[in-house]
Amino acid sequence: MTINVPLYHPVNHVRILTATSLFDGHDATINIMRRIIQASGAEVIHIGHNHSAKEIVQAAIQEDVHAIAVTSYQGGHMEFFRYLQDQLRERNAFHIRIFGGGGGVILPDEIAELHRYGIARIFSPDDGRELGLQGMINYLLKESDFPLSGGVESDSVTLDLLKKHDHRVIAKLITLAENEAEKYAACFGIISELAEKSTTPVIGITGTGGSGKSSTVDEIVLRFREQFPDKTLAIISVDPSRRKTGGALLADRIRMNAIGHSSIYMRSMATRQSNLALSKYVRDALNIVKAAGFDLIILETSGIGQSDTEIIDHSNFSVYVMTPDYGAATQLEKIDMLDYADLVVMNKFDRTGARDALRDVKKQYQRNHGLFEKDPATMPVYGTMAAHYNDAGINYFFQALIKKIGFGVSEDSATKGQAATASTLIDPVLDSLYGSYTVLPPARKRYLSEISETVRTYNKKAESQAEIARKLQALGTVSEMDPDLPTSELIKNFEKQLEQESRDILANWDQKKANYGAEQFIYSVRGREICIENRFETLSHIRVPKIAVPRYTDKGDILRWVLKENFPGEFPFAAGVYPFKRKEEDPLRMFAGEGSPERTNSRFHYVSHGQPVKRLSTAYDSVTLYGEDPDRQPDIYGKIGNAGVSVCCLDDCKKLYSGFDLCDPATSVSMTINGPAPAMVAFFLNTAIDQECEKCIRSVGLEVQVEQKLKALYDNRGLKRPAYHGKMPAGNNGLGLLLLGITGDQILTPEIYLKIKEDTLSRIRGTIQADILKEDQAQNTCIFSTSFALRMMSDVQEYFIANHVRNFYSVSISGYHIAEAGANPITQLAFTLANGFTYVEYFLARGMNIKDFAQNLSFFFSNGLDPEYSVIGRVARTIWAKAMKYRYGADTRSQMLKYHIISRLPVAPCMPRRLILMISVPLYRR
Amino acid sequence: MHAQEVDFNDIRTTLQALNAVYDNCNSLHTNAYDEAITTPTEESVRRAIAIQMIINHEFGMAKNQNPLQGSFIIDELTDLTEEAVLMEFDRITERGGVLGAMETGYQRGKIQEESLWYEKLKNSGELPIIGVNTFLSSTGSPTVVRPEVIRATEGEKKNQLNTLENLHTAWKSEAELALGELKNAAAEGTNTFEILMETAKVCSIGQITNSLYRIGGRYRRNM
Repeated sequence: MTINVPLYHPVNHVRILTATSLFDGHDATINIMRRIIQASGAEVIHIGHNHSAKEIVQAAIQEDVHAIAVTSYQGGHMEFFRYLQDQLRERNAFHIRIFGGGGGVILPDEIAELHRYGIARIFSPDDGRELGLQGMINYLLKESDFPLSGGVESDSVTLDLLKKHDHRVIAKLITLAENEAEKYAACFGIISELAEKSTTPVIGITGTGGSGKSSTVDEIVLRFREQFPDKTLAIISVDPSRRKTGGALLADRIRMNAIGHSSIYMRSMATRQSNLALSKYVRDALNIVKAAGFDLIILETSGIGQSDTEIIDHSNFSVYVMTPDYGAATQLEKIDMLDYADLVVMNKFDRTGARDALRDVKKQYQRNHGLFEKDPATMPVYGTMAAHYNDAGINYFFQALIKKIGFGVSEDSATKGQAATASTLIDPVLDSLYGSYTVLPPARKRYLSEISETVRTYNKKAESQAEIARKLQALGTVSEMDPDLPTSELIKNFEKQLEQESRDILANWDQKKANYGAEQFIYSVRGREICIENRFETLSHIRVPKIAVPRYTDKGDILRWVLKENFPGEFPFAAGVYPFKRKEEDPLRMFAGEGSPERTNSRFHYVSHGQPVKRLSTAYDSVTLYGEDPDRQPDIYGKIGNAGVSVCCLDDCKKLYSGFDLCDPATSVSMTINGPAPAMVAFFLNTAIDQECEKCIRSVGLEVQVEQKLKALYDNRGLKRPAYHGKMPAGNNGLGLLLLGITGDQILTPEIYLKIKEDTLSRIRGTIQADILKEDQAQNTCIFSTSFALRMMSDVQEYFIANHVRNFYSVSISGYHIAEAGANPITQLAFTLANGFTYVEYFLARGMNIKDFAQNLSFFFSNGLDPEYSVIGRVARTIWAKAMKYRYGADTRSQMLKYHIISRLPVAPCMPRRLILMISVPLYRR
Repeated sequence: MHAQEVDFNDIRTTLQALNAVYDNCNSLHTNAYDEAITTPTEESVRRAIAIQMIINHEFGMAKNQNPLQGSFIIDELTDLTEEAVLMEFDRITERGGVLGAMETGYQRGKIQEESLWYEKLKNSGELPIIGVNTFLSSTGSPTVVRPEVIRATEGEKKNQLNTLENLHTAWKSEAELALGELKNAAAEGTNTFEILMETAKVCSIGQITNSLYRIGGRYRRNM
């Protein structure tokens, strides 16, 4: 299947913008593609997943690219690609070519239609097989290998447009400066003159790779826009070209959330020469944006090590971004930028040892600048966490920066900027904040290894106790055979080593076995006595045990078995968390989600018809998964109700589950959504509450009031009443539809409403996925900053505790997507459990009690045919149980790990599981 | 599951479901055989459900509830897998815990590596997948193209837009107030969900998300 195709090397400096379409997190394919494009010698401006047509076009124009390469796997591709083309035309960017792919999702006749519309090429699964990856990229590059010289009118028109901040013209001029400056010497002459006179401050930002420069720049931009909404900003960002291929990855835009405004221009440049931090064309680019008259210019350069200070030649002020991980303090002496930087940002300030590092850098800065008469605490070195939204350190740094460049500073922030005059080596302001904004306390950093140690210690103990029991039994046998042998001392000695727990296990063993041998097995759950038949009868009239009992007679084997395996329902729960399966309850879930809430409601009723237990599993469309409303804008419109159901408000949720009694213990609902999960839970809980209100309203005959209310709210105001569209499916009795358009609290008295609410919350069953960690690791539907997403998760959990929501899982910690992204079963299991323990640590850090929340956590794994899949559940259960019992001291209920499983999702046949470009796509997000 | 020889998919699903039932999973979904190529049809969903029902109601061995216990290989696999997981825990610890490892893209990188390894073995045929890279039918087991496309209709989309616009008009002033309270709660550090329960009565999901962006910030993409 591997096709060997020679690389096509473009003649021109080809620039390609790569992205995925709006609400589409499938970025594996584009990531592979961009690597090949770069390796073929082109400059790649990679902006990542989930971008609207407008954002893509804006970036393409500012970057003056030859072509855009976008993948679209989430449906709505017709609307998306056409809209992309329209947007380019509207903005006079006729030369930019569009390439796309979406595997089997885009059908052959649709591809033909898009080609007719002007899309350069949509690659199909067949193309993939025929051409191979390199073949497709070669085609793309050949088609894009043209000079970008056109597009600039006469000098005067150009300069006029430049001063008007026409992004297309700015972009074009930078391209010309890079490629054929001589030809336009006159024009550039004028530009240099204009630039000479410019007083626009240029802030140079540099730092080590991975220190968070782009994030810091993004945070500066965000604040700049808020504080100076009328000012304009240009960003020039420089990354190295690869000497071997001439290609470059220009990926600074991927971190930038705040640049999507017409007052901001950003350009990514490649050095086009190796070993330099700055391109020789940077001066030209700076001249161009200076001549354009921007109010502020930021120049960001690649982190190229300790001794590159070129940036100070190009900027008025310079900022050096570093992390606490620079090694020994002597390393600081080698960093030239500490001689030149006006301000130093120490990012990732939540790292261990950050405060010492900050102190050392301040001292170094003091020495380098010869500021011995000054208090080292006042050195302009700032501990920050750019990854945190509204980070206090960044706020503090930003005000200092603004003051430094002489922009107007408000009274309030000016005083803040001077607060660092205390005599300690630590800023008092920052110090007071330090710790309050870390996600997990630094002291808990080793939580996972603590769990490893706990589990290993337990296992060792099980083995050694088993060994002692075995020896004791042997000694007992010997002394039985010959009572005169001197065994009593030895026995006494070993008995001392046998723990009480082990003794109890051995003492109770016969009784335990007998319980399973009796006709019925009796146990209690939450105070209720449950009686189960121990055997089932075959057609041959053999009575087969439901739970098979070990035949061991060796005490060591028995003890080890109980400590490491045990019966279902007993610690460490290797064989299951409940003693018996519940009768009448298959672990069957019905999955649906397509089109409108009404259509999905019909499917739910179809699949659960006649089932005693209704377990509904909901898939949402990508608009909903990214927490947005349906919209007429074509790139959104095309995705409404595709590959999942559209649910944008409470009424949609009411329609979706109408006819299912959500408070019935036989009903449970699972919702596959992560980023906007809290809002979806709120819709769902309100739906359940209103169903109960509806029952109450009907029982006391308050329907008239509902009618009056609806009349006043909708009819009288000329609005349409919300309604269930189309035919009601068989099995839907209409429960949940009476209060469409209103809520129960508008009809019932507050006392009754609150009572119903309280009662509903304590009874409701279901699961919300809400696993934000695995989204970041494997699936890409994160919408909020990770720290805020975690905080909202814990708000939901706190609410569940306070309101006794016991049977609803507030998070479904999912390995499924990790496996789906290509992980093997061990990695799936390890990452998933690790994520689970991270939530535990986070909730504990928020002050919750383990026994109050552990029951609200559930797990979700994917299944496969590898041998490890036959033990994935039991290993998950035993690790969880041991950690909960011995590391966290949690109660029995908290020790029980419950999991849902799905047989493997479809994957493309001839591509990596995440590389689904060619053939297929997961139609549902799980 | 695969998009070639989709008829074989139910065989795989059956074995996987058996794994899950034997292990006493608490909840199980069996995929329809055609999910690799289309939104499942009623016919394929029925078959998927039948897989579980046949295991649970007909397959005698599954009526025993601890069939995995007492097997040498299961004991061995359990120990091996458990230790492998613990070793991964230690590797994550070395990278600063789950959140620290995420910052450097450790998890993503590892997943991608494993994915490529699987593909390599699959492409070379070292990992046989029946009907996909071996045991091809006389026609070469071509990729099955979707027979029909299930997509939302214009009518459904319009209804969704109307519902939304109606909501935005009917509760305009209430929504503004509610969103204000939500933002306050988010900024002040009080419980957002308590407020969200009220916000959800009068606001759409987009209104809620965009209000929260103002306080909590957007996700920043990673490479």
